Amino acid sequence: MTTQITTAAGTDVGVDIDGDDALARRAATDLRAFSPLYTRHVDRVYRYLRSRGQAPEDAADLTAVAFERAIVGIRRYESRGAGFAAWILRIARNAAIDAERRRRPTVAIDDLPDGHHPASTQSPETTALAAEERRELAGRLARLRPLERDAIALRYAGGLTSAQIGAVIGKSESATKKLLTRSLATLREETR
Amino acid sequence: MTDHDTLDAQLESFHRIQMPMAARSQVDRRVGRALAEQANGARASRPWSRLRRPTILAVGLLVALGSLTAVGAPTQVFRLELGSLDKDQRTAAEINAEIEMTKAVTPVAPDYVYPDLRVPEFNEDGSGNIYGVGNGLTMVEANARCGWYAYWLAAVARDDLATMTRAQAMIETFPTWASIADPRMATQSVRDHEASLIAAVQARDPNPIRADQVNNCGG
Repeated sequence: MTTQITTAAGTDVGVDIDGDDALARRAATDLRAFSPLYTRHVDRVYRYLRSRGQAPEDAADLTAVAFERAIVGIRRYESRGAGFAAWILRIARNAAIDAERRRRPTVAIDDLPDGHHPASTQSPETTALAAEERRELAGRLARLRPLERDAIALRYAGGLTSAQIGAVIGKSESATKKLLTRSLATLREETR
Repeated sequence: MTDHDTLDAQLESFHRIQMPMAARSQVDRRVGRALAEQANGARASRPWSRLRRPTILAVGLLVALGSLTAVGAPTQVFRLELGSLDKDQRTAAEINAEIEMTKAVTPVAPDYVYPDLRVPEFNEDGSGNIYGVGNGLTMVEANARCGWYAYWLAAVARDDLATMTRAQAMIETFPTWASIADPRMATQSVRDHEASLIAAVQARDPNPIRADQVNNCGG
C-alpha cells in the first residue's frame, strides 16, 4: 500500500506568475498570504540548490535562509515581469554564492546520489543503465562553465523560462537564450 | 526521438531531486517561525495604550505569577520555563494569525484535520485574554503531533509496517520541533515525555501512545 505523506504544502503548481504576484502583493501587508507562496516554491528552491552542488543539509539550510530573507523583504518585492519564482531563486542564488564564498561546495553535481531521485519502478538492468546515464550526464554538466551550469539548473531544476533566468542571472532574455542554446549544444556535442 | 528530445528528457530526469522528508520538516519549521516572528514584530509597534484595562490587569497578574500558561492540545498544558516578559505577550488576534501561519507549514498525517484552535479575545465575563509568544505555534504543533501518533497507532492496528515506518520517521523529528526544542515553549518534562513516546514508537509498544492519546490528545 502506498500512502502519500502529505503536509499542509501543496504540490508544485508551476510558475503561475499572476497568482504569485497577487499573493506577494497581499503578503506585503498580510503575511498569511506568504504561506501558499512558500508551499508552491520550496521544492523548486531546494532542487536548484542541490543542482548547484550543495550538500543535502546545506541545500535545506539555504532553502530556509532564502525564504527567511524573502519574508523580511516581501514588502520590497517587484515582479518586473519575471514573477515570484525568479525572485525567490535569485535570493536563493545569492545565499548560495555567499555560502560558497565561505566554503567550497561539499558535494559536486556529479556526486548527486541516486537516493535523492524518485524511486524507480523499472527493472534492475534499466535502473543500472539510467544510473550510468545520469553519471555520464553529470560529468558533462560538470565540464560546463559555471554560468552555463547555473542557467541549466535554473531551467531544469528551477523550471524557469529564459526571461526569468535572465532576471536571476542579470542578463537579457536574448542573451540568456543564447547562453542556454550554447550550453545545450555543448552537452549534446559531448555525447557524440 | 531527436537528440534534442533525448537530452531534454535526460536533464529533466537528472534535476528531479526530492527533498528528504526530515529536511523538509526542518525547513517548514524555520520558515513558520520566521513568519510568526515577522508577523509579531510588525504588530509589536502597537501602542500599549490601546489595550483594555482588564487586559492590562490580567498581564500584571500573570507577570506576578511568573509564568504564562499556554493551552496546548485538548487537556495539554505547557508552562514557559523562564516565565514571561512583556515583549513575549500577544493578543488573541496575533495568536490566531500565528495559528494559521503555523498550520500552513506544519507537516500533518494523511487525512488529519485540525480541530478549531482559534483563541477568544475575551472571556465570557468580558475580561480580556492575553497570550504568550509561541502559544499558537505550540497548539498547532501539539495537535499535529497527536495526529501523527494516531496515524502510527492505526498502522499498528492494521500491522501495516510501511506506514508505521513512515510515521516513525516523522515522529523521530518531533524533538526538533520548536514547541519541544524551544525552552520558551516547553519544559524539560515536556521534552522527556515526548522522548518517552518516541522510545515507545521505536519499540513498537502502542500502550504509552494510546494512554497519551487519551490524556493529551482528547481521544
